[in-house]
Order: sequence, then structure tokens, then C-alpha cells
Amino acid sequence: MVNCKRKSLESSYTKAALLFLTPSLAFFAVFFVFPLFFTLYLSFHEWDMLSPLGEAKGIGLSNFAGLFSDSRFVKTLLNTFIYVGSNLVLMPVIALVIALLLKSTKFLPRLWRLIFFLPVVTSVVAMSLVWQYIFDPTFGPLNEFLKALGLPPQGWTMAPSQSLPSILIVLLWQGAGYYAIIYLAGLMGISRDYYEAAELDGANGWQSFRSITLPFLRPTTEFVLVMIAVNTFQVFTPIFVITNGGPVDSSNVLGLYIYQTAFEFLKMGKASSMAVVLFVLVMSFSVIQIKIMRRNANGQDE
Amino acid sequence: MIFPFLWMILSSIKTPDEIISIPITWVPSHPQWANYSMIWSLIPLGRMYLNSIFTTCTITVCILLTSSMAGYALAKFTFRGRETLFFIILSTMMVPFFVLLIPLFFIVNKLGWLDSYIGLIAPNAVTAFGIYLVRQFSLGIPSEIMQAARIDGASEWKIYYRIIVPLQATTLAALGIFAFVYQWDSFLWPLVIINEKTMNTLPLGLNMLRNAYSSQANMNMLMTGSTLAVIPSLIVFVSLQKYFVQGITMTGIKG
Repeated sequence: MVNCKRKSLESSYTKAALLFLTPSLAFFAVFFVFPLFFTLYLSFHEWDMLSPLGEAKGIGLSNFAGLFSDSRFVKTLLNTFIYVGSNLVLMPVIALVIALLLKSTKFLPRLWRLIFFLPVVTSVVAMSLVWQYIFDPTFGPLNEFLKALGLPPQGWTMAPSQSLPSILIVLLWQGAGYYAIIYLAGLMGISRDYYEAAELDGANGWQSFRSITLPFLRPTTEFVLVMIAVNTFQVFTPIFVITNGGPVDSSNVLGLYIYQTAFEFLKMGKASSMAVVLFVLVMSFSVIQIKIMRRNANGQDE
Repeated sequence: MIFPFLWMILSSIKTPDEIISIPITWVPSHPQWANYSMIWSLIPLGRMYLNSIFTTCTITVCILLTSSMAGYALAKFTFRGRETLFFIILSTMMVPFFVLLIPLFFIVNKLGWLDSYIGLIAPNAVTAFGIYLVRQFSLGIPSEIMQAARIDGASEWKIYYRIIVPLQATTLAALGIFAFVYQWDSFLWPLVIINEKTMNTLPLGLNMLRNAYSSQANMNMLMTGSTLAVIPSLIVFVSLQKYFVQGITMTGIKG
């Protein structure tokens, strides 16, 4: 008897729960699940979006096969990897340094936090335009600054060899504060007792850092690295605004090339196949990263 | 770190001559504050602001509503497949937007939502990140509260908006700020579906400004526009800094 009543109560709760979930689930069905499969479908077809969908030509794996003979695709893919790799190495270091500074500063800590976080909350488009101006070889302050130091002016975003590094600077500038705050939270979670004990044992700052700070920051670093990779693989706006991938695709990335292929060249099938490649890349990267970190963590657990 | 901001503000009040002077002018000799009033007539800045404010606020409200409800349901109700569902929702965060871009454009086009507010809003109305955040927080709400209210005869809906939502307030505040700041600068999606100039959002408008006034000498107006675009986020952030930081740390350390 009691069981019967409980079951009907629970099912009415379940009904309520599902009602709460319905808007979100409906959204995901329409704006996520369907598009996901549609992209997969398109990647096996040729379509320009102007003719009706029914006329899209099925071409099997040709899109994918053709990708690697497309020199622009290879170039943008390579660039994407360079961006991701560089960010994975540089960003955590910069962010951690900033976090350490933020933690130990006694003078107006909230002001410094604001300063480092400003690039994160301000419009990427607006600040990209500012950076474009800063990098301008003729009228920009950066070259002017170099001239004042007696150094030769650089091409920056206008030079094929320097456009990618220049964008990298912008990406680091825009992202460091965000990851610094995450590190800051991680740092604040480390109990002071450990540091005090280490000090009693005669450890210096560097030793404390290596033996206490870094190990305790492992989960944070794990999270940060995955986030950096996932975000950098999809970078678009700064590159679109500042260089539009140029000169000659030297700063172009997969995301921007997908956009160009779809909306400038109207090759939906090809763009979809590139999107699938991007998807697989991001997924594998995240999975591999997490696995490596887990393995490292387990290896050192006592 | 703040050099770009300083440069932006200084350049926004320069004259065209100062922009293209060689050697460059660091600080303008006659600050052209008039630029800030001129720009409103130069480009439809007011309209762009309006578009941005309207779409961003609406999206934020939608996100708060859906995340709050879904997070609550996933945290405080037990039903079969709950964890699987949560995992699936979570996994949507790993899918790059580019994978959905073309079909989303197709859908929006078919629905006649190009160049419209709803086209800008609908595909952004729900975010798994928000659901995750609220769900994590809601786990900590004691179930006794709900049970007591049920015994008192309250309906589930009443329990939700009378009891649960106020309890979720701080998390929702953090989420709201996140969503606002993120959506304010949304660029790719508006770029794809907006062609009609009157429907431009601020980021889109700025980009268009750069294209329309490509001569170097007009950089000062571009900087003025950028400054104006940056101010709302600045205000929102400075006044609500506490919640913002709280929101980020919530995602970073609770695995």
C-alpha cells in the first residue's frame, strides 16, 4: 500500500522534473542534435545552399579525401595546431605568473585583478580593432616604440611570417586574465599549513613552489589545459577582424576557413566536412589530454 | 596590459591628422571630445546599441530561466536516465560551434528568421554551461525544504519559484553576468545571419565601420566606436566583479 502511494508520488515528481527540463531539451533537439547530424549528412554531399536541399549531390567521402590535397586546408590546419600548441605552452605559464602576483600583492589587489581581467570582459571585436591599429607598421605605436629603442620596424600583422605570432600575442593578452583567475582560485585552495611546515623544514620559495604549489594545482592545470585547447581550436573573431586570415593564409585557422568556404565560396559540403574534422580534433584532443593527466596523477598517487 | 585601452581612448579623441602623423602622436594636443557626439550621427550607433542591449538581455534571461529549471530538475529529482541525460547535456559543450553553423543558418533561413531578433536570440537561448553551473549548486539545496513545502500542499511550480529560485540567486547572478558579457560580444552568429544594416549589433557594426571608413585617417572614429562598445561590459563587470570571479572559480575547481 505504501509502495503504491510512493510510486505515484514519485512519478508525479518525475513529471514535474521533465516539465522543468522540457524547454532545454526542446532547444537541444532543434538547435543542437539536428544540426549535428545535418552537418554529418552534408559532409557527404555537394551543396551550395542556393539550390534546394534535395538537389544536393551525394559524393561519399570525396569531400574528406579532397581536403588533404587542398593546400589552403593543410595550411590552416597547420596554423591551427601552431596556435593551439603555442597557447598550451605559453598561456598556463603567463596565467600562473599573474595568479601568483595577484595572490601575493598587498597593494590594491582588486585593482590589479580588474586590470588583468579587463581584456577578458571587453569586446573582442573592439579590442581587436585596437590591436590592428597598434600593430600597424606605419602608424602604429608598436613600431614607433621599436624605433625609439633603435630597433628596425616590423611588419607585424602585415608580414606573412609575423602575422601568426602577432595574433598569438593578442590571444594571450585576451585570455591570460581568465585563466589567471582560475589559477588564483586553485592557489587559494591550498592550505597555508603546508607552506608553513615546509618553511620550518628549511625549504626555500622555489622548493615550496615545486613540491607544494604545483602538485596541488594539478586538477586546475588539467582543467585549464583542456579549456585552452578547446577554445583555441575554435578561435575566429580576432583573426577575422585583424587579418582575415592573411596575408596569404599565414594567420588563417580552421574555423575561419570553414566560414570562408561556406559563406564566401558557398561550398557547404566541403565546409561541413572540415567542421567534422574540427569536431574530431577537438574531441580527441580533450580525451587524450584528460587521459594523460589522469595517468600522470595515478602514477604519482601514493 | 592596459596599454591597448589607453591607446584606444587617447586615439579616440585625436584629429585625423594626428592619426596619420609620422612620427605618431601619442597624446592629442587638442582633445576632440566632439568625436563622441559626432559618431552617433556618422553611423547608426544608437540603433546598434539598442539591438545589442535587447538581444543580449533577452538571451541572458532565457539562459537564466532554462538553466535554473533544468539545473534544479537534474539536481533535486530522481528519475531513470537522469545522470545519462546530464552527461549528454554536458557533452554538448565540447562540440565546436562551427559544426552547427551551417545547419543553424539553414534552419534560421527556412524559418524566415534572417535579419531578425528572434534569429539572433533563439539559437543562443540555452547553454549547457549554465545548466551545469546551476545543477552543481542546486545539489546543495536540502531536499527537506522541498518535502516540507510539498507536505504543506504547495505545487511543484510554486516550490520552484518561491523557494528554489531565491536560493539559487547568487549562482544565477554569476551566470547572468557571464552570459551577458559573452553574448554582448557575440560576433560570428550575427555576422552570418544579419545583412540588414539596421539590425546590426554593436560588434557587427564596429566591423562594418572599419570596412566603410577604411582610410587610415578615420581610425580615430573607429577608436571612439570601440571605446563606446567597451563601456557597457566595463560597467557591468566593475559593479559586479565579485559575482563574476565567483562564477569562474565555481567552474575551475569543482571538477
